[in-house]
Amino acid sequence: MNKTEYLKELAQLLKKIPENERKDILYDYQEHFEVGTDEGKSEEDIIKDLGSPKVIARELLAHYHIEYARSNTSFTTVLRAIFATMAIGFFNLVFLLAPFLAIIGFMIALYITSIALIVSAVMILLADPLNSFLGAEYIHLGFEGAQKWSVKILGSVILSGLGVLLGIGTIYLSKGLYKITLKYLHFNLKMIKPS
Amino acid sequence: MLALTQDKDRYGYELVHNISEQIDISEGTVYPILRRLTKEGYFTTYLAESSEGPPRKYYKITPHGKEYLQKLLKEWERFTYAVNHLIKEEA
Repeated sequence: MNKTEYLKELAQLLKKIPENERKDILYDYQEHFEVGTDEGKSEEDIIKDLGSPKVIARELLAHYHIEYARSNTSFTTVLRAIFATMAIGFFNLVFLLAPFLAIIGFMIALYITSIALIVSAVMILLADPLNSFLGAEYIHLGFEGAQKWSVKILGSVILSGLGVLLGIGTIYLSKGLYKITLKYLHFNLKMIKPS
Repeated sequence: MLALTQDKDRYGYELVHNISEQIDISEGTVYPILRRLTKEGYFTTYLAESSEGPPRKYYKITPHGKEYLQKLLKEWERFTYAVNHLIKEEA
């Protein structure tokens, strides 16, 4: 590999990064080659000391995705930042995977609970019409007095209220978690360096 | 890197080369750290002509960077003091 090929490969690996920033990054490596050559080093030696463009690109992409997720916080951008950081190396992966799986499992459980509450609120009201429509036996929802409409409506309101509150709470919790996750990713990048 | 720029502005190659001579890290991965520190406001950069060849990008430490360096140095001092203390006690 020579200088041109090295820079080309790095540029290719960084194609997800916007052109302005990518040019700025590549400039540093270009200058590194120029100064190195002035100091009498061969292109081969410079490349050997720089290390693999893949390793450099992984590091830069992780930084880029974390920063991007900070200004455009959403589930997908945060997820991308997590994966980009995991890709850097074994230890980054180890320190991210377990907390990531635990938190995502917990959040999914909360969202499902919230949806289930709202669905059951609807089901209480629909159970009778649905049963007669299907010609089926009465579906037991676990509410003994639920045959009375007043009780049904009260139950439905309580359940849907709980569901909506839990849903809103979970959305806020997710937003807070995004921020914490990005901080942790940043910390992970600072602490664990590829050798 | 902050310590290296304390007394004089340095260009990228100089910084990267000095660091990788002392610490086992490939030169290529020092630039991303330099970028991060610049983005966090610890450095400003400017292009300046050099005696030989094309202009080079120089890194200058900011007041914010100096503050951060002092904080890190204090932490380092406390840490090495504690470790030295433990080693001596052991002996």
